[in-house]
Amino acid sequence: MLVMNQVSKKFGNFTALKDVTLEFDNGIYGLLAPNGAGKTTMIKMLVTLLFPTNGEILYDGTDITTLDEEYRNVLGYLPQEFGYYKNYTPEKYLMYLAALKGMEKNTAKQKITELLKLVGLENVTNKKLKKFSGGMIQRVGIAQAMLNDPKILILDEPTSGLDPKERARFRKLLNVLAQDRIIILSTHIVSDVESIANQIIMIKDKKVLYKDSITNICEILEGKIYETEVEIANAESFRAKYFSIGERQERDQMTFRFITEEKAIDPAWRNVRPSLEDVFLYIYQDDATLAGSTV
Amino acid sequence: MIIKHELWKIAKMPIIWFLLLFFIGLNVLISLTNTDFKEDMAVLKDLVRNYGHDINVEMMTDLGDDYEEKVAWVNHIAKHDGKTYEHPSELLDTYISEKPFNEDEMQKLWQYRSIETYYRVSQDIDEFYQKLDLKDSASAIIGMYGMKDAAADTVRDQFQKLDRRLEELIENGEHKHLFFHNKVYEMHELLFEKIGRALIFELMLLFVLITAAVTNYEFENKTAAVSYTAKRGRKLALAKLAAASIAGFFVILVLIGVTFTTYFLTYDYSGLWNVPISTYFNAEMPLPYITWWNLSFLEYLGFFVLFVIIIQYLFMGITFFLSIFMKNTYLVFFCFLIIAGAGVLLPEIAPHGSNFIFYLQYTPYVMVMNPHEWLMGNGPFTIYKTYEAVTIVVWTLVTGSLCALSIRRFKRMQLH
Repeated sequence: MLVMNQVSKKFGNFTALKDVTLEFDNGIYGLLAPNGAGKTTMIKMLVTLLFPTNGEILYDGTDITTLDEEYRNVLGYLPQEFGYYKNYTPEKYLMYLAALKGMEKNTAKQKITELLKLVGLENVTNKKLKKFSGGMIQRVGIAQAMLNDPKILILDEPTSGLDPKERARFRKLLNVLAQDRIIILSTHIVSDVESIANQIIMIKDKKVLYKDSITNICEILEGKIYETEVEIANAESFRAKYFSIGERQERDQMTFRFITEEKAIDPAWRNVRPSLEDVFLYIYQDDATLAGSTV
Repeated sequence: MIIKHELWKIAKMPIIWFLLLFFIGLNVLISLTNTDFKEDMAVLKDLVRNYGHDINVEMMTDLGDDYEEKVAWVNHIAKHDGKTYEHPSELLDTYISEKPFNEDEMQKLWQYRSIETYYRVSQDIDEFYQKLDLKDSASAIIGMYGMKDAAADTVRDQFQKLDRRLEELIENGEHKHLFFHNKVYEMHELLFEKIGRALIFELMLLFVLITAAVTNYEFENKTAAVSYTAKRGRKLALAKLAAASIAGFFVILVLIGVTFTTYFLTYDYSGLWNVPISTYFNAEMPLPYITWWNLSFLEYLGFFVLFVIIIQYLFMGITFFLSIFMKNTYLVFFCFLIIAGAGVLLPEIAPHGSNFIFYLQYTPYVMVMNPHEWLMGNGPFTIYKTYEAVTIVVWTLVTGSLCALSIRRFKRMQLH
């Protein structure tokens, strides 16, 4: 079990995270928050790139800095910005990383072949990485994270730069990898975790706001999400009155998806089931990066 | 295994190979600058083969007899003008413009003139050393650099010690050995100052570049997040230092190897390897080279190579320390140059009245400025007998501590 116990992180006078306490058991965890909320800081502490200012991170009861190599031996990490040696082939680069992970040459070779096949790169093993598309590079990144068959797999914004088809493929891949390990998936894209995460962690104001299943989190907005049609001429005043979380224009009407604490005062309002995205938009409504979403 | 991977990264850097080839070419060119004297210098080889390099009574008698025969031949070919010449140079000076002799005779005359130089200079060595007064040298240096108070006292004190060594040197007869007549050929300056200094600076550039580039490689390729979170973790920095050390040694082998092979194939030192470096013939300035110990040319060359290697590893240590904290090759490179510049310039601006000026010399940056005076009492500011040893030991400890500190610090460094 991986535990963050009262973890805080400061950079000078700036507090990035405050008193974060979390427990991770086997399963997929979606770390969901807008950019700049502290996701990457949290992840970097979990992978020993950063160290907490206060608090401790324990793996099976021992501090991960004390475990040192022993902890990193069970860790797989795909950083937000996955760097690579552009003149290396994926096979060669993975061989290097396998050596850093302390793997024997023959075991590494076998594992690399297996993983490159798993991520669908078995036909380009001898092609230089500089010729790879963003999606292919990301798949190499996933392969490297899986090299040592990690007990803890941490993926920071793994789908950034991927097209929708590749995202779907990635989610499928994660489902295959999800057995008997902790997977922490950091993202600001709700759809990345909506269908695969067992639990969602939301960070706000430097603290953990929710750590629960998607169903439970969505209950927060149960009975508060509606959809309705509004004349285009009245759209502005509607927006001013209600918190719109999605809009769609159809002929001379606007369809609004909105949140209100009021009971349905208009018979045209249709109560709808809240989605994770609705919760996300509701929680981070004052965050500038959320502007411009659609129904 | 990891070191092999790190070495491969260095080997794939085109700039290293380009610089290595460029420096080899440059050193070959510098090595060839004295080829005009090659034939002239070949005379010495014959002299050493026939009489040995030790200038003693027996040797001087044999050489003298031989020289008389040569003078007789000189007078024989010059019989038409009715004069008697005591030395080949007199005849050459008389007929330098007319050249009434055939090519063979002229060639022989030039050879005899060289022999004459070795013979006559050998005769004057004792007298020169009798007149050599190091107190005058001390006063001249004090005046030249405007030294006063404690600094002037130190120079006098050190020259007194050098004077005792000079007495020992004379007693040993270290000064009386045939060697290239370097007041003319300046071979010591060519080998240890021009080539030596070039080698040191070239290797310094390569060492700094190799160390900084391989240490910062993960940060510059944005692979640090993956590399340093693998099992080996921050210990990777140690593998990088080891790889830089191996690559550096290879660079030393190639650059020094090719340069010295070119030099010693061009200039024949056979028979001269065991000549004391403090011999009078090696002198290029009014004050002859005086080593603090009785060292042969070969031993001196050995110490030179050893010091070059040690100093390069000191530079590597400093670069590694800077790289750990700066994580950018260009920044490290410029920072290193600034430190080196400060190391050289600080002693220049230090007051010439205090001993502080001598303490500022104890850096590898100052030490590399005058490699031709290592282990000698000839440098006014580095005249101490233990200058090189103290500089190397102190800086090895400093650099070693810096490296240990940086490795320890890096283990807990926040990697953003």
